[in-house]
Amino acid sequence: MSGDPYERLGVKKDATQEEIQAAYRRLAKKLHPDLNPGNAKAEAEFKEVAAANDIIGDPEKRGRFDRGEIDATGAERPPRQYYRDYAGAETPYGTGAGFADFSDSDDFLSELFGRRARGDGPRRGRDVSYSLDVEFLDAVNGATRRLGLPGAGDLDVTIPPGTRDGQTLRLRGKGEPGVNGGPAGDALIEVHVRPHKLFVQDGDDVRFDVPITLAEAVLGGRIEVPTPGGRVAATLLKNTSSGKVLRLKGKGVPRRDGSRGDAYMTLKIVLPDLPDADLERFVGEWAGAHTQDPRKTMEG
Amino acid sequence: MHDAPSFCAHAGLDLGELEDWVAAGWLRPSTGEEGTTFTEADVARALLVHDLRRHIGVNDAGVDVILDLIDQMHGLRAALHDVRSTVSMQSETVRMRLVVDARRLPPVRSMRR
Repeated sequence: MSGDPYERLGVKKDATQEEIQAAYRRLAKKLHPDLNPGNAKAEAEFKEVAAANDIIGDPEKRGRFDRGEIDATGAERPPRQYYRDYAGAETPYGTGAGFADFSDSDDFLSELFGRRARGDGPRRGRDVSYSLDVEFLDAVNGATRRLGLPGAGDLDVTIPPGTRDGQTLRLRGKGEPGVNGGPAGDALIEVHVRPHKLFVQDGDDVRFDVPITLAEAVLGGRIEVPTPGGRVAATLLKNTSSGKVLRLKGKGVPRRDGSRGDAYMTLKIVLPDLPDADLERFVGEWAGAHTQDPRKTMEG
Repeated sequence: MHDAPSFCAHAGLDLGELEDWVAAGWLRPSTGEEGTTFTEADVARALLVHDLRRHIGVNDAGVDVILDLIDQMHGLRAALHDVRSTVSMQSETVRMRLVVDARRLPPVRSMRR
């Protein structure tokens, strides 16, 4: 609130504390958000009025304001949730008494409101939402994680194999307790899967790069590679180029039906760490005796 | 969710007042395996009761009446919301028909049936 608090409450500068209190009450009655559930403006105006009253409703602060020691904003007020923000949802307080007479008849409204009119019956507790960060391999292979809930102890969350980023897990009965003997609500846990440094998920499939030596590229052979489900052996054919993609069937992400997507590895030829004289001499001799134009299909 | 001491801290109550407010029916915490627990809705409701008593000058009998009317009002609002949702699912023809019929109702009428 930046306006003049006297103006906001509609009182004169020399008003008595009693006059200020009366003015504040008159406005608070009219503007309290819980007495105006459908009126968004009421909350903003109520805050201004409350802020004004915080200053000039208090003789000490009023004196400091009048002397110019504090401005009209005073100290910042913490954001407040009003009851109306909750009353629309399932609370134990809603009542159908306001339309009990409608519910007794046998028309459309009775059918519609019948369930609401029984306000005091058992009611399911509210669902509570959480978010949980999970490592990629735990999401793929499944894991159990302990989630510490503020004020409500720990919750063991079973992450099923093949859990996807953004997926919501529902733990029945782990939400807020029910009312009047109703069942408890559920805990809804939104899973965020952290990226993996090697594996990149692509739907049910997983893609990753695999370095191979020049000798493996030229001669082929068996190599061992990691997959999300563990290390597996793969066969390289002779004369394999960098960039070639090999499929490892069924080594991807588990699906709901128990099958798995595939893993695709992109081969990358890696030369020795340091220049090697033998290799240079050999390749030089070989290149002198052979011609190859790998760029002949490139346009432009 | 709050237990009683945490609720009192958030709602600005002492445990004795809390007992009185629950006995008066102003607050209806849930009781389950973990004992009595309070929701954020309960906190907001307690702050409303403070506003009514401290700032608006309502006495305890007045709080009873106001909370009851507010609860009824939210019940009605929820019911009205259901009607609106149900009507919005109807075809354009049906919705226009409802508007035409509603406009035909006399402006002032008795709610007694």
